[in-house]
Amino acid sequence: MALLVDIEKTLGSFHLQVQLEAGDEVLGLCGNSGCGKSLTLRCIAGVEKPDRGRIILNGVTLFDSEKHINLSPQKRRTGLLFQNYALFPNMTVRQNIRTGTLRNHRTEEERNRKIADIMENFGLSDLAGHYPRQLSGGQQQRTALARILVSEPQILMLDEPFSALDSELKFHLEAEVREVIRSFGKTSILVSHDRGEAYRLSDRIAMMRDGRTEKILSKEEWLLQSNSVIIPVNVIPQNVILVPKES
Amino acid sequence: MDLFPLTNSLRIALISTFIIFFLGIFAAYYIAKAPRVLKGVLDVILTLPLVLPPTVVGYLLLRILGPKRVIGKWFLAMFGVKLTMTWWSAIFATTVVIFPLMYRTARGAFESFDETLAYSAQSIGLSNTYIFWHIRMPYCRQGIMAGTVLSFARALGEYGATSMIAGYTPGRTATISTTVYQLWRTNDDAMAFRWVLVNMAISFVVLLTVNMLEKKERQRRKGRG
Repeated sequence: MALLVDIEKTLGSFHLQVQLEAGDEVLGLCGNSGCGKSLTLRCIAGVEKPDRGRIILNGVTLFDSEKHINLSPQKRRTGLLFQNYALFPNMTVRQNIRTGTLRNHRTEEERNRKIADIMENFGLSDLAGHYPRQLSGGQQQRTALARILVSEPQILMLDEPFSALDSELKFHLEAEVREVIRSFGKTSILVSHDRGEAYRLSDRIAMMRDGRTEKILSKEEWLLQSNSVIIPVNVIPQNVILVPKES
Repeated sequence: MDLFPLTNSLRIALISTFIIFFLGIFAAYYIAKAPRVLKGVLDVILTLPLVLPPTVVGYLLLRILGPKRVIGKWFLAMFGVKLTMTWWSAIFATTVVIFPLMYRTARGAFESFDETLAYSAQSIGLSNTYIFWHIRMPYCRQGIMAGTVLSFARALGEYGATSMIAGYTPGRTATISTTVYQLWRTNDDAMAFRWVLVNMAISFVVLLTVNMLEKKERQRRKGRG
């Protein structure tokens, strides 16, 4: 397994108890708001410290309370996309993306090539000199993803990636994000409170309730268990045919 | 008109503002992150000079730095330097008095910082030093600048603690505020009024700057939504 998480953390009256395993796949982490989904991602990224347990990513122990291992967020190589995208407001799109290259790429030439490539891929080349506040929600998301991917993370974690967007944009961007995750090819975790979104983007899904993870299910199993049905929503007039009523 | 009080006031204010810029930011940064109880205690202690009468600050400083007191005595013995009644003695007074202004405005600015910016910066591998200077400080820039300017203005006008620790010697330790008092005491009303005007002009410009910075900050916040 590429990722193994087995952690506990108490924050006031809230108790987080998470057990997850994931391979090179998209794991959906689904549950109501306040159930500990974001906190789990933060623990993996190392910006929150669990009380007990361990986190192993691609054979590297990121956290182990028994062995007193707690790697700094900088050394964990996790890519975490925050709900608000967390773009640096004082930097342009290009400068934001450039910060992602500082860890791995030594020469300025190499950096410039990486930045140019990813900006081209994400359709950001024309926006290089724009500041985050001048971008649409979708452009902000692409910039944030580009900044993360250029830093070459071992895992991609998306925290409610569409919550800051209008519903019209969502479907369009969902397809973009699906493409990004697919070409990333390593472990991805998608946190969502929207079951449909989780179903469309994930390979397997773990439900979370009151700080606890339940058994990870394939999305087909999950669909059966969740008592939901799939309804196609992209019905356009051209696809509608009329049939005579049975007498 | 002898301009010594102006230049002396300016150099004292500039030096103490320079010191307080780093000291205030340093304290604000670490105390903003401290556990709640420690934060509460340190906050009270560090804000105390803001509410204490400057004469009390002056008295306490003399208790420490006076030539017969612990530090003052040691300095005199080691370096042959008296820490009081020189032009730079006033720096001790102004530094202590303006510290809370810088500390509190900087802390306010740091507390409004969106920590997710720091988290995402850490996870893409940026060092904490880089984050502090390239992300946190620019984000809090306006607040910190306002605090700096306000501290400078207060340092320029400091009277109580300064007069106790540096005294008033024309051409040596005189500042604008001590000069005004001295001129008024000796019935040189016209000259006192001139210095009052100088002081008011400087304070006016400074406060205008602070207001402009705060207005810009508000607009920036609004723009971000």
